[in-house]
Amino acid sequence: MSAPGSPDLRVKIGDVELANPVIVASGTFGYGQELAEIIDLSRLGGIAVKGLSLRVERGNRPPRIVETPGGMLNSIGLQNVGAEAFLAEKLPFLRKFGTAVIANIWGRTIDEYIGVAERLDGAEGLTALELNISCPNIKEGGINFGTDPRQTEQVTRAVREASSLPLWVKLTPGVTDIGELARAAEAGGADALSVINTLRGMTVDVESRRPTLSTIYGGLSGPAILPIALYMVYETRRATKLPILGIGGIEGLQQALQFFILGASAVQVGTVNFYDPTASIRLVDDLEQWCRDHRLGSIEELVGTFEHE
Amino acid sequence: MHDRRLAIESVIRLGPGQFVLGFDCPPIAAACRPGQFVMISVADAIDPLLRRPMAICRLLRDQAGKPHGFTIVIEVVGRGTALLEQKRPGDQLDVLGPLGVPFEIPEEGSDDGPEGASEAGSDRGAQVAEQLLVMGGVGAAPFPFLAEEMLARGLPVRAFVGARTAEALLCADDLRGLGVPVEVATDDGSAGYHGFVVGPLEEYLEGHDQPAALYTCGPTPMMRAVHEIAMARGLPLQVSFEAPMACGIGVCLSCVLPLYDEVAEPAGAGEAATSGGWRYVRCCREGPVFDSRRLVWA
Repeated sequence: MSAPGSPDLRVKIGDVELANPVIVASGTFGYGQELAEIIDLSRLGGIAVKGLSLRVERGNRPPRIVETPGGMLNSIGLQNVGAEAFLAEKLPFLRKFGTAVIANIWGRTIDEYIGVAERLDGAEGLTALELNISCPNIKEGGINFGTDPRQTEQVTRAVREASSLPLWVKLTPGVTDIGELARAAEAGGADALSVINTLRGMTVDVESRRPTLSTIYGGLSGPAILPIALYMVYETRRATKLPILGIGGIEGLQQALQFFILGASAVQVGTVNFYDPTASIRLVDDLEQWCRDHRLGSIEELVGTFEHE
Repeated sequence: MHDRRLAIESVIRLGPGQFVLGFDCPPIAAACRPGQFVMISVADAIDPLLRRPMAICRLLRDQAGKPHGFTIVIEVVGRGTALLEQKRPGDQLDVLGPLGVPFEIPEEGSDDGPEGASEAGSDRGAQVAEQLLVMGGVGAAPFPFLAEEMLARGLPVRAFVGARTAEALLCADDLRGLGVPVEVATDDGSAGYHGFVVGPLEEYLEGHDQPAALYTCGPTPMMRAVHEIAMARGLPLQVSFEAPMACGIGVCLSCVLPLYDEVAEPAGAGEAATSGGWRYVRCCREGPVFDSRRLVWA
């Protein structure tokens, strides 16, 4: 609850109400335990956990990251503890903070997506599912579902039918028309869209002439991708009325505000958690102060106020 | 774990491209253990983006002996460390730490190293194992702090320090200053033994039939050679590893290493034998210090 006079940071993503619009992005926050040592998780709007599969996933061979100008490439390969261990060992810890928990899920086949969605359905303390159809770093599944509108709709519908949880679909920017994919996810029953996942990229070690990542290419993230992410949110907003979670290159207030203006109801901060682990909490404080300075009663008053005539 | 904006207290230039940065930070100094590290920012800009992992080299103490700060020793290897070389006292950096699993140090008077040394040491009575520190290049960074803690527990310590050249030798003077006997090896023979540091280590072990525990950090081929020596002789070895790291706290999953699910026991002439499986573990969180018998060296 907001005190009298202080701006209301609560936002609604479909039927889900978040205490504030700052979510930590999947794959940049583990399952919360590590960062809980330096930040108060109860102050976050939400925590999107590392992408979960039905079974334990070992992940890709190192090297898994390389730094790039204003960003980094990763190829983790969705290493995760699996849905079972998540429910038994990770979710009970996260529940204690009262913060929304978003289970990012993925699979290599539609059946695997259904399997993990069913396993997580009904778990106490889960707020929403985030369907990862946009990871560039696994050989099958993942991004292939996110680049073909027919498959996007199909996998979204399958998971929609397998789970009673609100369903957010995380889109890849690696397509000609993201609006088409957004509409496909909407047709499949998505409640919201997470825009965007990483972009495919690569670098080469000139001495060895070998790729710097074990998988040759990986996913680009960090401040360098901000303008692309903003453009993708702009296009997605034009294509659908579904709530949008803006993701990509957010370091703090100035980037987050642009996503809200373009129509994102909330934002996810990702790579910044790696190099500035308290940035998410600072963003919550800065948003509140910015609303106060600009005499906004709530952050929702800012959403979709883009002027472009 | 603390995330602090710290002003650099001191800069000490060593050899070319080598320097020591000192920080004043009582909470980190009080909490850190030998083998742990900090993540430090190199620029107040988005390029280079990521912080760099740096081993804690020494504690800085006040006159009463209470730790109030720490040093890190840096060798220029790329853009990040080159930017750090430009820093001067008073410049500010973001410092997160202490991080990672420290070296396990035997209690005073125990006759074995951490878990597993007893097979080797059990027939040698209650003799205290000599602590042998084997380091190469900037891998020497964590050892002055470790040696100091070992000496404080009354443990016998000896160091083997390797580098490319005499002027590139790191931490040898610090170790000597603590009273640790130091044997030096250089690739070009400009100081001490001409060759790799495992040379003098093997010579020493040949001539001394007393219990010993090994600790190493440096280039991977050097550490692998030390591992083979330890396996052949049944000596416990703790290895401090380095891996490309984005966060340092265990959330990015970049810095993983393959680790056997169970300890590989010495089999025959130094061959690791394990039938067990393996998994990726985080160098930053489950390490950087590992029991060498659990690492997949192949």
